Amino acid sequence: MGVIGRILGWFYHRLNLEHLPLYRVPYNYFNLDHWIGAIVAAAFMWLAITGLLLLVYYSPSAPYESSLRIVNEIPFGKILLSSHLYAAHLMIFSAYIHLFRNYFVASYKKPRELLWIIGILAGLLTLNTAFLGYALVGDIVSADAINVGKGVVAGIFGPELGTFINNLVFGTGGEETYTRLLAFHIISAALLGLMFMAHMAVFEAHGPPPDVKEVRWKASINIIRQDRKDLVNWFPHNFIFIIYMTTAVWGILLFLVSLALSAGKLHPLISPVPGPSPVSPEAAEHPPYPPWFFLFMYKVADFVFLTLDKPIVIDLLILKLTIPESPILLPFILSVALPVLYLVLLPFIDTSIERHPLKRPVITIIGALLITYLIQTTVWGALTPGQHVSLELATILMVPPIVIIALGVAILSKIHARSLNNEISAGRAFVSLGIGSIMLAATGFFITISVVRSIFSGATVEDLIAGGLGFAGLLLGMYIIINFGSKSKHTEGFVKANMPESNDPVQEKKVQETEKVSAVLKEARKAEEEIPLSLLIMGTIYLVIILASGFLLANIDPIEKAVAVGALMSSLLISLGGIAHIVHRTLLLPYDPYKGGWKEYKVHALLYFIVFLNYILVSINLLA
Amino acid sequence: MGGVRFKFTRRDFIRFLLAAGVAGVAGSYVVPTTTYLSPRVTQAEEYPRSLLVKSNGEPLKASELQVNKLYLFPYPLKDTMNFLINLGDENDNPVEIPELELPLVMEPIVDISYIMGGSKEIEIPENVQTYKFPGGVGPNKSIVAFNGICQHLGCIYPQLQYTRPGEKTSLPTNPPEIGENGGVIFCRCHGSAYDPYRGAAVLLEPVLKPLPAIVLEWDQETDQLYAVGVVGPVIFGKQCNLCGELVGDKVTVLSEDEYKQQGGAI
Ligand code: FES
Repeated sequence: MGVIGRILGWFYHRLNLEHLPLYRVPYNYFNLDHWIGAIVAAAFMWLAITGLLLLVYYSPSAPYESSLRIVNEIPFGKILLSSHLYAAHLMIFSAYIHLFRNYFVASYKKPRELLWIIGILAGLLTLNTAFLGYALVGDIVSADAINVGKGVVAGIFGPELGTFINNLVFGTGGEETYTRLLAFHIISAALLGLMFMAHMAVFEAHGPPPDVKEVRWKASINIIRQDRKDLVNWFPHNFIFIIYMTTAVWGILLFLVSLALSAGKLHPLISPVPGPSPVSPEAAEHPPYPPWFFLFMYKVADFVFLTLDKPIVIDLLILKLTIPESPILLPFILSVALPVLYLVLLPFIDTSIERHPLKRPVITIIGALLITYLIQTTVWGALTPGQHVSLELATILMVPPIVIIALGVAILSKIHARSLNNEISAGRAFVSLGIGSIMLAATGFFITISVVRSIFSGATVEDLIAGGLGFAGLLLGMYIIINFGSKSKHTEGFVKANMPESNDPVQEKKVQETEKVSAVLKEARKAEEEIPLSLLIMGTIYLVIILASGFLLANIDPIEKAVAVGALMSSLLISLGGIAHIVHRTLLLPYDPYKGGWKEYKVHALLYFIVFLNYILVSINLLA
Repeated sequence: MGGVRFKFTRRDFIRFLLAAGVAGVAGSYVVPTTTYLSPRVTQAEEYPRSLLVKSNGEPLKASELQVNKLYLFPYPLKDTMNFLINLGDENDNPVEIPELELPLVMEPIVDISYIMGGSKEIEIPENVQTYKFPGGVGPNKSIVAFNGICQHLGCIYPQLQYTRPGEKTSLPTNPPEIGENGGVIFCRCHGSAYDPYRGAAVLLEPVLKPLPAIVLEWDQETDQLYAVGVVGPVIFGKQCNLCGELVGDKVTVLSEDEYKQQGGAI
């Protein structure tokens, strides 16, 4: 291998990469289902990098002017600021998916309670950082955010503590406000970084939970034994896969940013650039929105029947508590405090060994309702910002989902229970499970629409909300079909590999198995030599894209052609991701010989397609 | 067993792809990052023509300048402070400052040999560009202005100071009179010294370049002074003399005492 090989080898041994004290996972765990958290992490890293770079030009004494200057005058500033914003959106969005994925497959069960709780808290801190971040821009959204933020704090913590916190976070106005917001944005992000490290450290304590199918949806064996034969080393396998995930996520993020920038004026909820100045005439036309991830709370604040119009005095003999009047306290408790409290306590509420959603119907129902309400109030808030909601309207729109979801899940879990008693009919049971969930979603959709129609004839807004509700049901149905309907592939092997060997006959079997494994390995070594030509060709194409994009990037005007710049930067990262995936795939050849076919190529099809779209953006932008 | 067998396997090619890919992407990101980070220098085309005014806003009269006293004013950028001196002899009689051709980089006029009676002439080394120091202006042709940022490592007033003729600097060797007639501009940071009488040419090491000279214009009728340009080396720490925020058409001149009172801020 020559000199380079020896240098790399030196690092490999000095860093002891072969025996890193990190959990090793089976070779077939490298898929999106197990790696959603990596999307969150990649978005967070992008936020940290771009955030530090933005610090160079952001100035709290002229927040709006300096934001506009970054967008309009600094080369690459537009891409940087927009991608910082979009990365925040992506991070929050993927954190929700990460949360609910692990919710439904019960990843929070013993011994991962702490991991789960840190995750929930990190999610809250993410929202906090995001709030402080968009308040910094100095546009109308930011000005509203600061005022509304103060109101919310005062409403939750009462006048005295509220004022204290408000002065602490927002200062007393003017430049001080933005200086403090900037400081707390960075402090909050730094704390989030620490939380992230804690999350990873606790994750490494027990590793990822075994794939549900391997353990037949039980949490009794909840650790991947490190003497399994299908494990791969953290380095290089996980390392390369992290590179693939990170660069691919960054690339897709930059593609979305370029797409949004090329689209011209966008709806303020998704616009990648700062909105109008709070003192400009356009500010009046701007809807009074928070960013989408706070819309849910914004809508619940419109539930006027939740307003406390007089102070409540609770007399507990010795202790006398006075809750001051507040328009926001109950909405906050209902939309944030209670759900968070529930999620934090969840590992101690649901302590059964079941991991299948249909064997924990109550938990599943609550989870589905959380998603539904989150989507419902978000869409609702986007469509009718600031419009009051009466108790009647809230009941009409929010009770049906409870009934539909509860009934649906109850029926599905009955079917599921029967299917397991009779193994032979399992396949058929899953089909009916699929059909059942589609019907569940469809029924939800139509019932809600018709109920709402009959009451408010022609009320399009409510129709849309009903549609959103039905859509949420549909998504849930799809999720159930895709994830819980398919039959276990690895069950037998895993159970054998993980059961403690106790009896002698088993011991004998083990010897046989070891022989089988070494035969497999020999086969595999042969396979390694047989890296398919298709991978080499695809990798070469990626390299060509990298060289071409790098060349173009160095030769176009970064201020005038921001879209092209973003699309090229995206293509670079996407291509590196593609190469990393190829490396990852070839590393797995000893375990999983290359079969080709659609499944093997679908990642690259997606990546090439995004590069293709990127180049369309580049050509449109350069020719314009 | 035998000689070296070189075999480029498919795995090697994959390794090459990864290395080239990482290098290509990292390389392509270097330019955007550095372009983004490098500050936008606004570079003006022309030197501003700035009237020197007193702290009360009235135009400064050349005849009002006290001899052998230090005055400070910013020019051509808001953050480049300059020395304005009406040079005189030991008895505070103004002395006429002649025009002079100076090298951009020079050997110190005074070296250790001077103390033992060495050379005091300015030597223009070969292959070194020169510039013309315009000499003094005003009724006695005795008013000069130099940039007040030391060309060695950038120390400013009060580390860089004007010492009138006859007065002692804090120089350890402290020759009685190292400059010619007009005192000395001395830098306490590392002991460089410039001769204000001869265009702030280098008297003592370690500095290698004279102080840039501010070109002044004297209006005989009104007795007013204008700063109109800079000659000599580029002002220390600046990419160019006009790279940055320019002063306006009036600049305030402060006496040493006023300057100290204002905490150096103008
Ligand atoms: S900075 Fe003036 S002598 Fe070094």
